[in-house]
Amino acid sequence: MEESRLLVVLATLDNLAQIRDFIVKNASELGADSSSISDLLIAVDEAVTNIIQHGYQNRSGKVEIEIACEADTLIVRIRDTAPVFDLSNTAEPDLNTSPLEKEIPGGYGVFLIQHLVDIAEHQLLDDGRNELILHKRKVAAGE
Amino acid sequence: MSSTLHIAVGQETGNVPVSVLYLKGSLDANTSGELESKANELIGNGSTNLLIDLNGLDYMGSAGLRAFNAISHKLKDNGSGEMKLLNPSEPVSKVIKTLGFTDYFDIHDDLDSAVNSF
Repeated sequence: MEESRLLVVLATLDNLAQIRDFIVKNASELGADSSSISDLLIAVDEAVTNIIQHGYQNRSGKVEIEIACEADTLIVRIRDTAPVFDLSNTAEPDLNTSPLEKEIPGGYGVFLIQHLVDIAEHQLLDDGRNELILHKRKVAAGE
Repeated sequence: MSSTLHIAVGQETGNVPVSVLYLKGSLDANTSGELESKANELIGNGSTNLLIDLNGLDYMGSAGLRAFNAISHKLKDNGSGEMKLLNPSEPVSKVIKTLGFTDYFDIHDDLDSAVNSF
C-alpha cells in the first residue's frame, strides 16, 4: 500500500466543499481519470452528507477521510463516531415509481454510492467507530 | 471547488413568461436550501414557469434533485406552472440519469427552445 492521505474535519455541511477538494486533488495525484474522480467525488459527498444528516443528525462530531491507492484501485475510508449507519440497512429508492414521490431519507445518496463505486462496505471498528470503505478503479472500465 | 451557490434570475418570454434561474457554484446539501428559497420567492411573487440553468454548476449531488422535487411539488400544489432544466454538464447529467430522473424532468440544452417549450 502506498502512502495514505488523511483529512479530519468537523462533520458539518459547510465542510463538504473542502472534502470534495481533498478527493479531487488526491485522486488526481494518485492517477485516477476524470470519470473515476467524478464518480468517487459524488460517492464521498453523499456518504459524508448521510453521516452528518442521518448519523450525527446535525450534532457535533468529526469525520475522517483517508484516501490511498492499492494497485489500480483507489480506496477511500470514511470514519465517524455517529450511531451505526450501515449502507445495507437502507432500502433503495424505487426508481420504477415517480421520483417526485417522497423518498426514503438518505436513499438517493446510498443508491448513488452503490452505483458509482466498485465496492462499498461498512464495518464497525474495534473502538466503536463506523468505517465506510469505498473502492473505485482509477481508470473507468473500457477506457 | 466552490462551497457556495450563486443564483441569478432573468426573465424570458416565449409563449408565456419564464423565470430563468442561472446557477453557479455547488448545489449540495449545504446550498440546496438556497435554491428552494429563491424558487419559493419567485413562485410567491407570481412566477409559474421556472427554468433552471445548470451550466455554471461545478458540482451537484442528490440534494439538487431533492430541491428540484420540492420546487416541482410547490408548483404542482399551486395548480399550475412547471419547472424545467437547462444545460446540465456531464457529471450533473450522470447524477440525474443514475437516479432515474430523466423521464420525469424536461431537460433542454438550448435556452430558446427551452423557453418556447413552456
